[in-house]
Amino acid sequence: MKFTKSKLSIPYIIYMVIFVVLPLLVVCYYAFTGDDGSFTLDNFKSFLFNSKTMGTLVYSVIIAVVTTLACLILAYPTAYILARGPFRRSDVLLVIFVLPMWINFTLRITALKEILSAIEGNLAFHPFFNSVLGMTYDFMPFMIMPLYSSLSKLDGQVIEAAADLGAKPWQTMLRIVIPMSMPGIISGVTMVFLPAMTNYVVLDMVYNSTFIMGSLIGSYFSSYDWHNGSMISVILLVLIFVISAFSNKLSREQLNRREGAGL
Amino acid sequence: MKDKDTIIELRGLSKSYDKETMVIENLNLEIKKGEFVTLLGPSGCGKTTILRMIGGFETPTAGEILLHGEDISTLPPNKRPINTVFQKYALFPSMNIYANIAFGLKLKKLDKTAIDEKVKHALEIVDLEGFEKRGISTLSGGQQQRIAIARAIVNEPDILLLDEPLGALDYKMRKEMQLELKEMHKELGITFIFVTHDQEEALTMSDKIVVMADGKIQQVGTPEEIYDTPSNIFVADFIGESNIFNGTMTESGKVKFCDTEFECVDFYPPGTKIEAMVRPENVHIVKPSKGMLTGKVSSSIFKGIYYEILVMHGKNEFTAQSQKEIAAGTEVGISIEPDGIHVVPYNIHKNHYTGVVDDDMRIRFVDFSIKIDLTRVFAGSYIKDGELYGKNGVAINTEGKKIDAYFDPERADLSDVPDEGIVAGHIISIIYKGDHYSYIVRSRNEIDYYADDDWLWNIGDYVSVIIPEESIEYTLI
Repeated sequence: MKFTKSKLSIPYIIYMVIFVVLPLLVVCYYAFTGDDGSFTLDNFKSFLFNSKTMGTLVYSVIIAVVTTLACLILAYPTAYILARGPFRRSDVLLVIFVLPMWINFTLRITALKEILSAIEGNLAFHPFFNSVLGMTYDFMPFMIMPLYSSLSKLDGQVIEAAADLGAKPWQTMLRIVIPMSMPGIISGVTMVFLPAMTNYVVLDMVYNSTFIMGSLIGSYFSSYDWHNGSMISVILLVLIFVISAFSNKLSREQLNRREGAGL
Repeated sequence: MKDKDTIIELRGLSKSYDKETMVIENLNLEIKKGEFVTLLGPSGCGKTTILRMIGGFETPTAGEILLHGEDISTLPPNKRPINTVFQKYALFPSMNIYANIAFGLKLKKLDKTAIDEKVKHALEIVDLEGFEKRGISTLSGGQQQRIAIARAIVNEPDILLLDEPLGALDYKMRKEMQLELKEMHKELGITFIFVTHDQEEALTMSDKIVVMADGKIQQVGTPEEIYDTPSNIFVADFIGESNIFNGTMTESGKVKFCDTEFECVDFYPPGTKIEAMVRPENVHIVKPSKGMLTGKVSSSIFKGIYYEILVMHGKNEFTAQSQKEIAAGTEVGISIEPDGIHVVPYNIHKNHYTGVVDDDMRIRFVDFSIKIDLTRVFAGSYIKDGELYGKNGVAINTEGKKIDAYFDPERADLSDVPDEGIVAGHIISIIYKGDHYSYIVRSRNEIDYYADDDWLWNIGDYVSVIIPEESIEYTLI
């Protein structure tokens, strides 16, 4: 028997249909039907015109944005120093930063929770801060990795050229290094923002009454309300789709600019 | 300041990256305003390190860099009136050509119309008018190099540094850019410091060439001086082709090598050991009866404009150039005009090593220790019961005495068995001397040993230097 490319793809197609396409169709079916099984948009209406659920959406977005920014601000200097610092084995140092990923994350968050309760006393006093801290801690490696790889690929001579032409270190950073590491920034932001939007386990563990989109879905599903849970999933799906399309467009523009289709 | 025309002076400059090995060692160099100076040397000789220290990308370990008489060695690159053209262009990929060239001017806060005008003028100089809005990757290598030059000269620096800028271009493009760079230099009047390992490039372009090897300057001079009167065999071997022979000066003021006496224009005391260099174009092939010496052609290779003829005279090989092909096996005569021979005295500091006698009457050198018959060092002495006595019968305390050891490179041999010789190291230089190769072997402790060997080894080979015990001469110092 000869293995052709199309034959080789059969297992993947089966996998995709069973684990991606079918569940999505089921989610969509539930999202657009009522209890009696007839087509309806009521699920969406009750979400979009309810200030409480919309508040949850906004709160989720804010948490995700703040988490992403915190990750970026902390990870950029770290990745820069790791990639361009005077270290002989920067790859080993990088592994140390990524090492927490090797530990089960519920364990990590439980540890963080213990530390935070020791410091704050009652976790309920700072729900927002704790949520952001927990997620920043959890997602940091996803930001460091792409930043590190794009910063370490940066041509050192280009940085020297900027200094040579009179740029002070901060000017070189702002005008040369950051624009040139844009692909890394875009992929890092995407890799942190999307899970931060949907993650609810971290928040559940750090402070279990903080309601965000993820926990909303969870609460609907755990009370067997398939229709509303699916509806919110669809909303999140659309939101994420829009965001990834936007970041893809950004990185493609970056690439075009580099290729210089200027004329 | 010694000279009003001096723009930059390197004084006692040294650089070491690991505090052990010196990349640049106590280097002194003066460069005049408006000169086109080339730093020429094989890769790893430290030429790029010098350029990077002038540019501000490296800080010297010791010494000063005086620009207009002021030490700038610790200033960051952005505070030096010096611009660099990098080897791989180093253009900013996220900017178009205009933004690349205007980068330095914008930082200086010039107004828009002035910047526009200067960018336009710089593009004219590099022959790329109207390219302002193009992206970097739409350009060919040669064009990118021109933009890199434009980006540097638009700032009107006092000195332009060029780090092997033509290395990545193909042969024809490189030839073209060489002439254009020379034109630009004339037009702009800026001092150019150019780094290359290509001797032809250096000879074509420079006002002054600085030949470097091993972190040290070998010779500074005009292209003609460097080519016609190389100061040592390294320079002769590196620049162009050269026949190099060991020889001596004779009583009559002539030079003797390959068992033949030649008239020459250089004078050294009779008996001086010398190295004679003859360029292949100065080796004339004549009829056997008219030659100063005769030989047999061993090969004749077509090189485009001439034939390269190898002539064997006994064990010695001469390289000559001829317009006609000469069949291998032909008996020919060789004639060399007096001014075709360049003579330099043999470096007498070679192969002298200082050692100290220890309590066991062994002499300890940096790389090795050796037990010798100490009566060879102390005239008239003798050994009795393991003690050394002078000729007056008084015991000599040898411990701590310093002894100089010397051996003639001709008496040494190389072996690839590390333990066979007294010391082992890597070959760092090979020079062909007609009938043998002259090697420099550098030990782990950075000490150089000169050895002649009939066999051809490679640069970097790990070899040991075998010296028969009786060939080492010891002197008390």
